[in-house]
Amino acid sequence: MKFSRTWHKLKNCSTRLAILSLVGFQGQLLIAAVEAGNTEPVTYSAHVARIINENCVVCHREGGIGPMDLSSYDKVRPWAPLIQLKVANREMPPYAYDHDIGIQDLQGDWRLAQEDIDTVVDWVNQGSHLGNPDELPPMPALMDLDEWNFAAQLGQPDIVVASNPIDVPASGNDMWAKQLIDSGLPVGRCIKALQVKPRGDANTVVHHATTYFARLNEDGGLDREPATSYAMGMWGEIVPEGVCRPVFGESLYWDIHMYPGGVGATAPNAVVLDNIVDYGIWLHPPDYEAKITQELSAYQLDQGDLFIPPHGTAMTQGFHSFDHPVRIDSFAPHGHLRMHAASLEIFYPETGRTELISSVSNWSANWHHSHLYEADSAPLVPAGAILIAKQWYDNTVDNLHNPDPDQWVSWGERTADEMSHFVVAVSHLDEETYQELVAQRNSNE
Amino acid sequence: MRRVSTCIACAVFVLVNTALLVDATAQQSTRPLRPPPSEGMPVIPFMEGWYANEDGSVTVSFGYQNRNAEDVIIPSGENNRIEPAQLGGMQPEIYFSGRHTGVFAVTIPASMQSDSIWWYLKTGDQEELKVPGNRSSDAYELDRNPLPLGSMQPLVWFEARGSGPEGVVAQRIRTVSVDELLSLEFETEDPSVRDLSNPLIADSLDTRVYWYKHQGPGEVTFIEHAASPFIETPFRTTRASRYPPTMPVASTAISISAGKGPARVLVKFSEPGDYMIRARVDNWAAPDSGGLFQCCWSNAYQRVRVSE
Repeated sequence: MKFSRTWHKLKNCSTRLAILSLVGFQGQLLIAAVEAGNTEPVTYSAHVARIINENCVVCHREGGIGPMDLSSYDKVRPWAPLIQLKVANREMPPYAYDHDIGIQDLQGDWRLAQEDIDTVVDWVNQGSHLGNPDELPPMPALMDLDEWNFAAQLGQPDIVVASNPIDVPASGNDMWAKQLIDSGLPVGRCIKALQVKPRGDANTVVHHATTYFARLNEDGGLDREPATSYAMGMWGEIVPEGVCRPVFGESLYWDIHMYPGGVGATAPNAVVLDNIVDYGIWLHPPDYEAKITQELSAYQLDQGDLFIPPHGTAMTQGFHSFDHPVRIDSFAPHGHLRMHAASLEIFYPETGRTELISSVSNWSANWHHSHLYEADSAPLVPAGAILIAKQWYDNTVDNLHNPDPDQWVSWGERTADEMSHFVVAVSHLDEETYQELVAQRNSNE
Repeated sequence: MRRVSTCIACAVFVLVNTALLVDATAQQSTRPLRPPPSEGMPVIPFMEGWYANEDGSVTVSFGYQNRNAEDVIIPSGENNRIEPAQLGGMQPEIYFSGRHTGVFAVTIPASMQSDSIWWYLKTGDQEELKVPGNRSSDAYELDRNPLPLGSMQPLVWFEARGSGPEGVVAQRIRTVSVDELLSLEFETEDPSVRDLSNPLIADSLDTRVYWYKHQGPGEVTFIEHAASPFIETPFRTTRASRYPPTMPVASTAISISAGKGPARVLVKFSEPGDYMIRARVDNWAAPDSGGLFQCCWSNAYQRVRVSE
């Protein structure tokens, strides 16, 4: 991860009075800059409140999933040094995706602009003052935490399929609920957007919820195709314009992995009654036509050889190519508590060139993201080019999420085990369409 | 992946560059990025998880992975031991190729709860590997509760009923001569309560019993009992079929109709000595049950003393 200008500010400050110490918050390092690099006054009222209100309070408010309320100066001020650390390290807002590497045009990108990070850092360096209360901005309309992420732009989902309720105990083994819900889904209709949303406290215990469109085959068995893949923190999927992701089957098959005791702030180590997960689908009109078909696919990275020794590290790689051109519309790496980084590259055999598409240096299982590329930036991949995915695992004490660094870790279903795969939304192209998209992209640049 | 930075303060963070991608310094070996060999790999011990018992004791489940194409023999002793020693004795001596969960368990008495037990395993001249067993992170906590679709650990018994990885050990030691056929039997019942109207669940799910040599010096041959015919089992997983890493199965298995009834097999031994036979009873045919879900199966152990 390339460190920001802000980071160097802190370092320069520390060279005059270098203080490095561990804070009590899960062993993180607190860089305490004594002297501010920026001497212009920065106040909460005039500069910082807007940033926190627009980016933080959505979760850090009463009833929110954040562990503290940041909706006013009095509530923010005690946390100022930690806020500075989290923001400077780009741990908050929780959207881990490296800057200045690969594709940066993303939909639903929560990352703070560098300017805003610098403002917060300067504010704390200067003493975290309130400033003139008359300059406080009004709190923006906050999203209803129970609302669908795409409601503002797409309205309510056309179809909502709820899982059957399950009680999750306060502790114990991971749980997996597999359910087939006869939903009457419109087979063949093109999907506009998808979101999986655990209700209420279920947010903390639902580790992942993979869904499939399902239908009975002639032999009485079940055929199914991936519908969407949710893991803790995921925002949802938007299918690009001009693309059809068809509904494959009339039923929805749920595969919900729950982690008793939960992670995150709310409902820790508490029983969660009637855990329900909702699946929302926004549909295109019945007469919607698109010549590009999209599907969601998961590809593996050496899962059979995924072994992480005690107090050790490991890396996995996976390779996949297509015999026809494709466009990669999204990238979602997946792992568990030891995984901490991921990347996606494309190797072009004809030229020998490798292009780094996406890099996530501080990946966390608590905040899975499916990184949705803007349509004009999504990689156009010629036939035969190779997707190369890499993931890194840390089983040392330095990994703050590590439940037990003394253990050997290998592939498994539980949160304590590991996995190594990535999920991509792939738009399948023919050569003509591929060339059209390439020409269009070249003319736009 | 974080790039190496020249920032001094950054040196205190964990920085992983492309130079060394697999680091096993704690176990004194490196594992380069290339396909591993099919032999000569150390067997890896795994602590699967722990159960909190009502009497304050903790039962720790152990398994292993043998990445070699062939089975590996590691007799009990210095290269295969539990510390403290008084809690040892149930670890296997033959390590079948593949990943095997919950092969044995150790119960730590309440009086020793503050202690960790360790399983040490050394394959030939390879490095000694070890894993601790204790009431550790919640992430490793297991339980005996029904799963969402009702699956539970099958009950097994010779005398008193038991279940889970620790299962039951027959009180009576059976005796037999070399190459003489011995009939083994125990009872099993699947207590799972399932909603048969659920389209994901087949009617009257059968359980399966797999027979393994667990300890002993010689070859063990399992022969079909007339009342418990062998069934065809999935092809034994090899390294060529790595993903998904399915649980390999023994080459001998029987089916228990509707999960209730006796499990029987005939067995003979090639050498004199003390043996232990393990039977794993599972209900992995249910969609919510499987080895890597850490539920649901139970072990039944039978000691056999073989004479000339």
